[in-house]
Amino acid sequence: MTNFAQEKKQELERRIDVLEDSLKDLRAQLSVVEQEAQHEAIDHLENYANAIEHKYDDLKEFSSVVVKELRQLLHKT
Amino acid sequence: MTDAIPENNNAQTLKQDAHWLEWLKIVGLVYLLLVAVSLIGSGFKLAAGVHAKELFAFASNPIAGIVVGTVATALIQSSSTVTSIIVGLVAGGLPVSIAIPMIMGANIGTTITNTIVSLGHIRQVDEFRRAFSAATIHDFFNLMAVAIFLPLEIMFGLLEKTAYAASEILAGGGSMSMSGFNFMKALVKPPIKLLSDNVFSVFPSVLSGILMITLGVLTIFLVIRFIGKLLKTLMVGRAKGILHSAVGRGPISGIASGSIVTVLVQSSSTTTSLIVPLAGSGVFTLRQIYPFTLGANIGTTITALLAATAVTGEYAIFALEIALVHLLYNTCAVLVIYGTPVLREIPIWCAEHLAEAATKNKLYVAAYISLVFFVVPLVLISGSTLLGY
Repeated sequence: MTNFAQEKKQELERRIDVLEDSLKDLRAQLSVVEQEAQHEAIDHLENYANAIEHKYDDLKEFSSVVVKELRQLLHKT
Repeated sequence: MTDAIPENNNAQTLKQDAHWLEWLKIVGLVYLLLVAVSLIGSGFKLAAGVHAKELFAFASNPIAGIVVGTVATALIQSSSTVTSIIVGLVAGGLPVSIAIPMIMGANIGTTITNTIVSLGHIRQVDEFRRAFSAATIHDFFNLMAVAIFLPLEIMFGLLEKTAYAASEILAGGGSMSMSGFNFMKALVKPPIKLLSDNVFSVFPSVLSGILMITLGVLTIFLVIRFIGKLLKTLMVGRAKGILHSAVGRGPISGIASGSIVTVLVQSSSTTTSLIVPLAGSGVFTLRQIYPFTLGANIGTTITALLAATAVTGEYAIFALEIALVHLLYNTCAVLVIYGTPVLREIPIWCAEHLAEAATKNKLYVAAYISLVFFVVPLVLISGSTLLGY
């Protein structure tokens, strides 16, 4: 390998290292942001705790959507 | 400003008093649960006598046992209620081998609750896709667990044998008695004796047995409902703390936190339903909530263990055995399925693909719920009856 090629290879390796470091840094930053959002959501757990109480309303809403889709399907055929 | 401090103190004292009152209610309700389990056991003994096995002959086909457990839990929407009733029946003489598939079925039936909760997100496409996959991952995991462990149980009886050995060690250790004095018997028997001697004694023994079972089942149903409501209010703060500490710590921490939260709220449906909206909002990914769901499966086994402590007499060891089968089954399922990378991916793949299809056409959702929880069980039970099993 010539001197020029050797230098070029080293330069590319250095640039890859820099990119990998910044990628690692960005991943760590993303993880912090995600975890902050998760902690915030957990702080509002009371709101979700009541979801189970509304399951009959959920079923009612779902059945109306299903009936609508069924009608559309029958209309097409 | 100076008057505000004593006012705050008064408010805090009142809040603490209210909490104490709620905890006292829970202690009373747990006592009622133990009495109800014992009542079912006594009633079953009285009604069936030595024919307990013949009475449940229809469920000696494991598929029928699974179906009974699934449909009963899906209709009652509480696996804790069904497993406590099963413990009570085993305490009355129902063979453990017949009860094991029922316990497995209860695991499947309980998953309907969070699936229904996920339907609340139906109007928002992306939110519904995430919430529905978070709910059905629990279904697919529990269906897979039955597909793996039921044949093994039929062939080798591993769960039954291991749980029996463990219950012999535990019951032989005298954990519930001291110098021949049985605390549980002293606690639970007086109300049973009072009821059977004064209220049910006017009826013939079979009828009084049936009435005792009915009262026991109704009491368990109501007690578990009330305990669930009280604990949800009392424990939501603790649950938050546990979830906060599990964030960013990997799957083992997720499984542990799911188990602890379920033990605290005494309901796997509550735990799994809590995380459905969290997944729906997109804050938690499917892979992040998956271990938490599995923890709920392990944590829910505490109710059957608690119920088993109420049973005394010759069948006490079998009641403990079936409760330990529940614990062993759910723990082994997590170890085998989640512990094996290839198997671990199957519930994720199924949940994601079903959710994808469900967002395009809601009829898939209706078909899925009716098939898994009602149609397939009924077809299986009719088929096995026709084939003479």
